[in-house]
Amino acid sequence: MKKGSLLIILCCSFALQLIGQKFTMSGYLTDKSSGEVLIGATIYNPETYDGTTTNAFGFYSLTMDSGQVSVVFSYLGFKTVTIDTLFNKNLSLNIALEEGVEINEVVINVGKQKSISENSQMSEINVPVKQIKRMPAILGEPDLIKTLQLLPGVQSGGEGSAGFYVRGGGPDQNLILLDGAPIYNASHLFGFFSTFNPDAINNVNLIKGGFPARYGGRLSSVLDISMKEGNMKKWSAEGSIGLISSKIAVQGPIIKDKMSFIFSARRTYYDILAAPFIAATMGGNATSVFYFYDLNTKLNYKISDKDRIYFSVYNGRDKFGAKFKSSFGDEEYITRASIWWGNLTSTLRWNHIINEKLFMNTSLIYSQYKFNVGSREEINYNDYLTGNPVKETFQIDYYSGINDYAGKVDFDWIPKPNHLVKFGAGVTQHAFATGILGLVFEDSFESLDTTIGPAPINATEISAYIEDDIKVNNNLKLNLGAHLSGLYVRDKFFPSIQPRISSRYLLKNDWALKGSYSQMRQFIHLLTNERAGLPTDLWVPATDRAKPEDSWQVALGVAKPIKIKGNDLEVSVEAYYKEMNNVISYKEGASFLGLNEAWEDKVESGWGQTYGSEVFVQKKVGKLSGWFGYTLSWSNRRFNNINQGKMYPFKYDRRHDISIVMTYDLSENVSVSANWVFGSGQAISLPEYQYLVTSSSWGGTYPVGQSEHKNSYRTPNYHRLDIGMSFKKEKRWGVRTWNIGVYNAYNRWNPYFVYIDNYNGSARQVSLFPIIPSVSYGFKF
Amino acid sequence: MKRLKYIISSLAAVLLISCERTIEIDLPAHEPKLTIDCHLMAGKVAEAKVSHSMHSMGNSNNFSALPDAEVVLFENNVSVDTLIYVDDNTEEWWDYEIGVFVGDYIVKSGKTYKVQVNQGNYETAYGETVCPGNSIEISEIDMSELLIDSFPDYWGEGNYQYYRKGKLKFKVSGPLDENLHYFLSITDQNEDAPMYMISNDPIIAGQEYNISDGGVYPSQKLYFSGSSFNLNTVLTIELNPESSWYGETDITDGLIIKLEVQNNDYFEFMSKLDDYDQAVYNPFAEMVFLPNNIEGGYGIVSARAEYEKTTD
Repeated sequence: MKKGSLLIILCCSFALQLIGQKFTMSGYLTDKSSGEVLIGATIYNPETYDGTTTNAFGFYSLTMDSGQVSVVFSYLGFKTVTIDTLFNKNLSLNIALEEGVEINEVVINVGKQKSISENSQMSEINVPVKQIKRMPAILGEPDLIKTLQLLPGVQSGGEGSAGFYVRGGGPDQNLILLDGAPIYNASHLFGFFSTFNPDAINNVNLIKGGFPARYGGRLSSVLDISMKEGNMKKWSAEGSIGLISSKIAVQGPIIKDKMSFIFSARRTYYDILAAPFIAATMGGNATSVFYFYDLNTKLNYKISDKDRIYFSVYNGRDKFGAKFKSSFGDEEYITRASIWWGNLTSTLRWNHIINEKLFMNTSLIYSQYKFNVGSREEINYNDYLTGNPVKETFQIDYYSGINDYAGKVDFDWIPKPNHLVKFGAGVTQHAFATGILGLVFEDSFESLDTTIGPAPINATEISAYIEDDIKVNNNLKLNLGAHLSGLYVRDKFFPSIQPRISSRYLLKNDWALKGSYSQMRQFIHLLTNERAGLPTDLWVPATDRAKPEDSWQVALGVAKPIKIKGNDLEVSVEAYYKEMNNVISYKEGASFLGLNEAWEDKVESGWGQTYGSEVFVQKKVGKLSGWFGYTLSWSNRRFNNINQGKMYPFKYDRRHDISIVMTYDLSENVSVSANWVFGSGQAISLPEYQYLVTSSSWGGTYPVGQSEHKNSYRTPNYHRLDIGMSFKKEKRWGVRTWNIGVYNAYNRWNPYFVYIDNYNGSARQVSLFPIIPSVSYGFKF
Repeated sequence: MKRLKYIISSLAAVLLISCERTIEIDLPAHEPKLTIDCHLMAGKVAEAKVSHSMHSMGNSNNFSALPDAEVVLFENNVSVDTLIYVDDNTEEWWDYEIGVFVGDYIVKSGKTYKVQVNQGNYETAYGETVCPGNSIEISEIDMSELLIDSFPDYWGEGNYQYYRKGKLKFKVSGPLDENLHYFLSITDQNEDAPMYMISNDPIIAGQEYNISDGGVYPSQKLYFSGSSFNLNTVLTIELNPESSWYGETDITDGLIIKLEVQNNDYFEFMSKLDDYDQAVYNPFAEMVFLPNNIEGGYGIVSARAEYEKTTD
């Protein structure tokens, strides 16, 4: 009896202990059909509302009370899985979700959680790659950044531009990461296309404010892009053939469920198509090349349940060149001119699950951007005395670029269900080539091979961070963190501590009030002319004379899911204010041309201010899906020696931005899509009046063109309608899709740039793209 | 297949070639205003060029003189002179000759001057500036380290041209103003063009040809600002350090050491005008905004002073 009582007591106490005890469930969430990890998927206990989301590698960890539990794994567009289990020990559980058929495709997944009002993170937008592919596109080439430009707070650089400007920031203030590697020039064809091939991309996340502490190094935004990892289950291929380019992506298992790869390639062939026309026009004396290509490849090796290795490489390049041949007497002249630029990045990552609550990712990263413009002239003739053939060559090249070698380690630690702690550290070695001229001259008597220009600048950037996503109670969620960083350059160290905070407070009726404050520091500058955004733009490090750029931003917003006539909508309204210090600009009269001045002598450091509000209404599911975005914003700059030291509107100060994006499924295989975009005119400088001045050096009197202040002229407003239609059909070998589209459907002549034609005495606007129909053929098997 | 290739090629070529289009757009209208271009010099009479602005698209041949304008010079807010229009008949194809208004009142250092222009068709315009002091002293001139060198006279066979080279030392003293800008030049008494020179003295804030390779090259003017200058400093200037473009057959004349003092209005305007001239034909250059201190119009009223010392 005594023994029995003891046993009962022991059992009860064990049971009580179990009830009071917490265990952790952890693992990966993947797509069942491909083995691709699902980023930002939701895992939660529907009874206790304890929950978490998968990280950038598909890993999750959820700590709950022991006992019989029910756990829901969900990801929009996929069938939800519910697991009921007796939870009495730590559990490693990898879940594969099946693509759902009953739920329509996601359009834009703000915050990635169950509801827009649940996430503490604000100013963040996740763009599904499927949506990018469905949007009508110029020349039938879907483009990631052109899709981002349709979101509130994100502006395009202008007609056809694949540059983007976030909340009044400059083009250099966006941190673009491809598998963690920074991309320094994300555009092709002088900015008409971005460098990202949608077929190779798995996930796209844009953060405009309230930056989590794990990100640093830029003032205005973070665009975090993850490449696909390769299908672990079966071989597959997809691609498309368009008017000016084609692309293909092949992926499959090298060892099933263990090791996979993906390889994708894209190239334009306008030069090949145009070659006969050029040859006919120039009588065979000229040839030209102009193309861009992108190559992406990634290897993914699952060493064990706890260890994975990824190796990804991206290489993209633009090349424009021409060769001319002519002769004069017995002399033959061959002239070659070319301009090329491109990125090369590679990332080696090791994911390791240290324990069920601690996840580690270690990365080694290389990133290179190079720009080169050059010409070579060759003269061939026979020496008039000896009759021997003589060859004279003269070559001139201007090049610039940046090389980064980086290493970093990141940890996700989930000690309790109401805490998600991220911490890590990294180091980056930069080498900047800030504009070097190479000269080669050779004839039968002498030769010269030299370079002129500043020596490369080496700089070391270090960073560390810690952040904690805290669920204080059911109403209040906080994300607190700090990002520490520093740059060592030219024997000087620039340290920085950047606090970050964002919060969400649930109000009545599902209204969520969100707020954030973040400080950012940027250690590199982009020297860019406001008149033209060219690949000649020069990346340079912060130095004693051009100090690191700093910003602070505060944002406040509300979000709410609403239902109107059975349609689920999500509404968010945000207002922000941002100040920036030590932003740089070319001095008045300066440009990248001219090597007789160091770059630091050509620039001014100043102050910037930007503020505005954004409205975003989105319908995610149903036959009709899409969004409406509106931005009202101001962006100003002030430099001591520009515009007489007075504040002026920044080039990308745009008062109103509107975008409407809609996709309608006519049937399972046919869909129609349309988007309309409106933007107020850009602020540019044009001489508005002229008057006479007298030169102090030669005494003459002559007219000068002036305006009241910098950027006082506004170009005409920008607006455009694009329409697209997609026809999908199952074939024996797979799925084929015909995409037809019309870019700029009502043929609006939008300004590309505006200039003064002194010869004819008029102001002129150059427009690039009229109505452009397109067709492309896509396949997938 | 061949036909398909031809069709696709044609379509792509036509699409891209036909993309660009240039259309004329309107710029905001411009209400013409008076313009004043007046650079006063201490110790000399006032001169001002007066005209009007026009729309940037206007025909610049239509700039006209305004001989009937009333141009009044105020000194410390007291009217001291009315400038008289003098027509300039030396019209040159490269120049816009609009005449000049000339006064007879001698401009003084340290005074505030206002130039006001009234003309019936335009709003009254005026600009104000302070004439800098010229109480700089140059003394203790030491020419002992100056040498005489020569080069063959290209025009007269067998003859030589002579020039000075070597170190010249002198003391500069006086009440300097951190808001003023000082330019030093040294000229042979019988020459117009200043000599090339160089100085390693730390007070020389900027030299004309200081390029990115770290080298400092000779220039005809040495600049230092009032804020960087230590009073009662002995300057060491190296004349013609490499060679000379100019020479003379008789080198017995003296040297003129000239210190030009520019007020900020003049310095900023001329610096920006220089930038403007450099940038105007560079399509990538940022637009240059000229300082404008004219109320009711455009242009500049500025002032300078000069101090000269001639050696024996």
